[in-house]
Amino acid sequence: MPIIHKFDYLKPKSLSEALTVLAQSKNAAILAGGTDLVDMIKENVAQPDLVVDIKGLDELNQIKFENDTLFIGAGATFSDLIESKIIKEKYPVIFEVAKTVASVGIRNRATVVGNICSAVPCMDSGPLLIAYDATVQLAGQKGERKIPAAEWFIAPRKTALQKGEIVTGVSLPYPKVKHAGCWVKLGRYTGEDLAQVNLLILALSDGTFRISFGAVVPIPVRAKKIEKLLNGQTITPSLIEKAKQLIEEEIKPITDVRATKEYRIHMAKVMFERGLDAAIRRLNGNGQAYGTSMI
Amino acid sequence: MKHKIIGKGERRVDALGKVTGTAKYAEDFNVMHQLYGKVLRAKHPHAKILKIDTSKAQKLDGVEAILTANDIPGDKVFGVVVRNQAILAHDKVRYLGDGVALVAAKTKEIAEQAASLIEVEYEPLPVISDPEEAFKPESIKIHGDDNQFVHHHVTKGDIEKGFTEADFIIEKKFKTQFIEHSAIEPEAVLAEPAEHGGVIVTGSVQNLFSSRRSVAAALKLDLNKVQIIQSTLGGSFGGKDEVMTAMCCRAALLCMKTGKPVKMVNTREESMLESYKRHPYVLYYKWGCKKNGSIAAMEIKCIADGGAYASMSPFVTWRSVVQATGPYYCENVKTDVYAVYTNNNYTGAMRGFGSPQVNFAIESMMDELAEKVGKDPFEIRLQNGFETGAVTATGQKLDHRVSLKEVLTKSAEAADFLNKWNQYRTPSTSPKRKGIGLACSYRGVSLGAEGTDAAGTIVSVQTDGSVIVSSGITDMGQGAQTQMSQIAAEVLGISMDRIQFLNTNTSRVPDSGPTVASRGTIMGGTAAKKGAEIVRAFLMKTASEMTGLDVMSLDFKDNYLIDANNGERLASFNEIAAECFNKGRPMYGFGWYKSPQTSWDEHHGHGEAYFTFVYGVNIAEVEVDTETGKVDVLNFVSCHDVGKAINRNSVLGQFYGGVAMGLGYGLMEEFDFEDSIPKQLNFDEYLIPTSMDVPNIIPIIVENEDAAGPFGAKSIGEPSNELAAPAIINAIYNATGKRIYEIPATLERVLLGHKLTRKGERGSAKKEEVLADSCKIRPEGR
Repeated sequence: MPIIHKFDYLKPKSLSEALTVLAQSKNAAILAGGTDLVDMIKENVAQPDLVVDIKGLDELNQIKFENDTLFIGAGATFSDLIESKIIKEKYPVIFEVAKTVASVGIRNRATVVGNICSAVPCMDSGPLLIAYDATVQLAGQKGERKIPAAEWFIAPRKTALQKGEIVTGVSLPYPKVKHAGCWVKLGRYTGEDLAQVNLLILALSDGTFRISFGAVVPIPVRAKKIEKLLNGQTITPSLIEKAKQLIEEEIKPITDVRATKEYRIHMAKVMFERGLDAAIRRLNGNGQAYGTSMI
Repeated sequence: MKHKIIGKGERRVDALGKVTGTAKYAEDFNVMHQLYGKVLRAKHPHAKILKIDTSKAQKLDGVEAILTANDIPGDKVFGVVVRNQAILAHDKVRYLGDGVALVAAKTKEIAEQAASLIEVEYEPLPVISDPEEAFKPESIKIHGDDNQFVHHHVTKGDIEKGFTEADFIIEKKFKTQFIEHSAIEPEAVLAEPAEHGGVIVTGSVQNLFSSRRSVAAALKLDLNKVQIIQSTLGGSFGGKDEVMTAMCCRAALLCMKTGKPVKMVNTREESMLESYKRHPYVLYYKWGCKKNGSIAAMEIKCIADGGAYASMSPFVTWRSVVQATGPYYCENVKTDVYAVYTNNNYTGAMRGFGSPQVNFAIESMMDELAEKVGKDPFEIRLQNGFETGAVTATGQKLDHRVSLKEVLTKSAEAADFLNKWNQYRTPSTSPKRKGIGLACSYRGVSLGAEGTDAAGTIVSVQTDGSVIVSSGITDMGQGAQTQMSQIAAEVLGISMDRIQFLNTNTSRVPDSGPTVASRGTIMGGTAAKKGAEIVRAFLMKTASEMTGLDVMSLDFKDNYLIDANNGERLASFNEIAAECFNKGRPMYGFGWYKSPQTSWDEHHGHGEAYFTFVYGVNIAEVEVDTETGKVDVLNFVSCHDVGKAINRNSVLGQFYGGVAMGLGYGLMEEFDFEDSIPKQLNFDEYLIPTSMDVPNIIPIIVENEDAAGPFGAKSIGEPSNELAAPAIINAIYNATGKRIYEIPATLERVLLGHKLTRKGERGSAKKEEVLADSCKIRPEGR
């Protein structure tokens, strides 16, 4: 569809310039990858008066590891994550997540930060960030703000972002002990698809687990009851069965055009069992390579 | 006979233009002062139109014309079989894709805005979305006084007697889905006023001559005043017929009204909303069988959802009724195929044309029969399969070479079918289970008794020996131009680089019927051969005079005239061409081919339906994850008797593409409606297989040359696509012991045995009728 609304376009050279124009405009939209925004403008769902393109801000295009914390800048694309050496080395499960996001063409444009700003329930980045207890970093005219990822998501398509603010990036602290992870995403075929169930499991060498679900909840959640059940325990078949029983308490799937509630619940259990097994195996050094689908 | 060019993998004549970007697709045509056309479509799937107010839209700056049905000077409806499809809805809208008004404006944006300013008042009517509902006498009528608009039947022998003789009966119900053609290029045209009156339409049109008839009738013009020119097509799969006719008519109407060129391009969403689909069928199969595995009686009833307009339903369902028994012996047959109107998208031609639906049922039934009598799928088909001389359900004696058993045996060997089938049958405890399945098909070539079947191709030699070929058969990406060029090059003894092919133009080539029914090579190719032979005779006469040698001892080879006895080069082809021109001889060959006779008695349901048939086998090897319902197709064997492969690479392309598309039909594709409102309008929700979903495919080309085709060639476009789905479904059965009776075999159908469909409120669901076993629990006694 042709774009029938007019808007201004600006590509600022510095973050402060970007913040200034954002503060001055009534209804500005921030453009990074544009994979969501451009479609919404075309379909007339978004009608910004100004589009602020932040791709020119080099300070936001970084992926860096400092002080035991990974910083993913707002301009970093999923392809950047896949190619990052530091991620493959320290956070291979991020590589595993990024590989399942859409297709190569989209991954070359789409960003993690854009993904959590759109905040649709089936996003892939949400479960990842809350499992790592990540922090969302914002800049505004009044200064910087940091929000825990778990508080960032408010409702579908609704976040804690305030008018005039830009998300500069996300920070993922490296867990204090050795860990491994597994990302399991349910699509309807091997080609690119939006997730019907998302699951991220981190297994830590201190015997604790971090488990988060996406797509079967309005906003990504940590499965706190299951974590509590498993933490410090020897993982036995009967314990796994107990954990699976708890899944229905942790998630709230719906039936839509992509999958039914019944199937999503069934699959959340299968994915949990396979993902847990894979994460533990990886922790013990005998798991399958990252990027191998468990379903 | 040894060929120079036939049978080789010659590079396609359109390859370079397509890969370098010089090929011009419909959207690439732009001219000065062109306007942009836009269609305002229906708000309801079924409603009376009370009032259309265009006054606000008219006032918008940049709007040049707004048209409704009342502004059409000639015929307001069109249709190849039943003339009831509205160019613009006049009394009521019958599905959501119906056009209600047209806008032409200076920019796309203004056209879009103007369309949104047109106010239409509707009186909504009850909606019929279920074809079986449409049959009921109390149902609201969509056209005239009956929703049923087709009933074809075939009878053979005595069905009652057959069932009496049977030892047992297998009776099953099957369902298939709506399928989107998914051509990579959506519909587009440019209509321009012609300099001496009339209109020229350039666009992604598949069947130019039927589109031309409708444009001429709508505009009240003679056929010679309407020129339709084929742009390079980005795929069709049967999908650029009526929907393109409607677009041609609309753009031409706006063009004639404004006197300016008008461009129209559908977005993907508009395309999916408006275009016709492959028919969903409900199929009731009842077979009376004997303990030895033979079939004594087949009673078959199929109901096709024709959607809002008749389109090709009468022909699609006719192919179904002819082929409904499959290539299997049965003396007592009763088949009835119906088509009914609903408020869903209308359904029409799509690669297969009535065969994929019945093949799914037939091949599932055949595996059930094998299971019942303790035979394997290979043996049961060898036992029942047609041989040369067999008499079909319609009473036609197959006097060509019936190669069913040859393709069956070759495929089974290549796939190691029997070993694997036996191995995979053994129950295992692993959640992932492998299975292998096969399916056969036979298919009537070309149009058959549907109607006049003839085509023309022009071979024109230039004075420098280069050659221009053009035909009434269109190339939509299937390679028709390359095949016809190869045939002309073979006859003339020249290389492919001497040939230039022209896109079809209705004013420059004869009406050759539609390019459908896998008839391009057999019809256009035979015409090309005849055309080239006509020119060759003039060139040879010239050569004989030049050399003083008898025509019989001369030949053309590798761009030279040679002495046929010793291969000595006597002159270049170019020199002969120049000399032929100097002698004042025509260098233009017009080849016309009328197919062999077919016949049909609709009253008795008998006849020589098609002049020849092709035979094929697909074997699928799958892995089913019984915990998730996921079916991975691991390996695939596709084997077809093509008569003669004119271009080996094109044939392989058809094999691979056909399997990929068939896999989508079997496993994932489904154009779904909720109360006749489409649930998906783009490829985020309408899933088609990607390269990551397509398995390793082993192609086996079988060549039993047929007298009816050029160099023995028959068909492959549709045969390649019509039997992958049942092969996969049979493989799932082999893996799990559970059978799927409704396609696609999505994750949920495989795992749960049913699919839940969304109904009403977000999050609520209704369970659909159970038409599949769940693979979650393994049956006993296997």
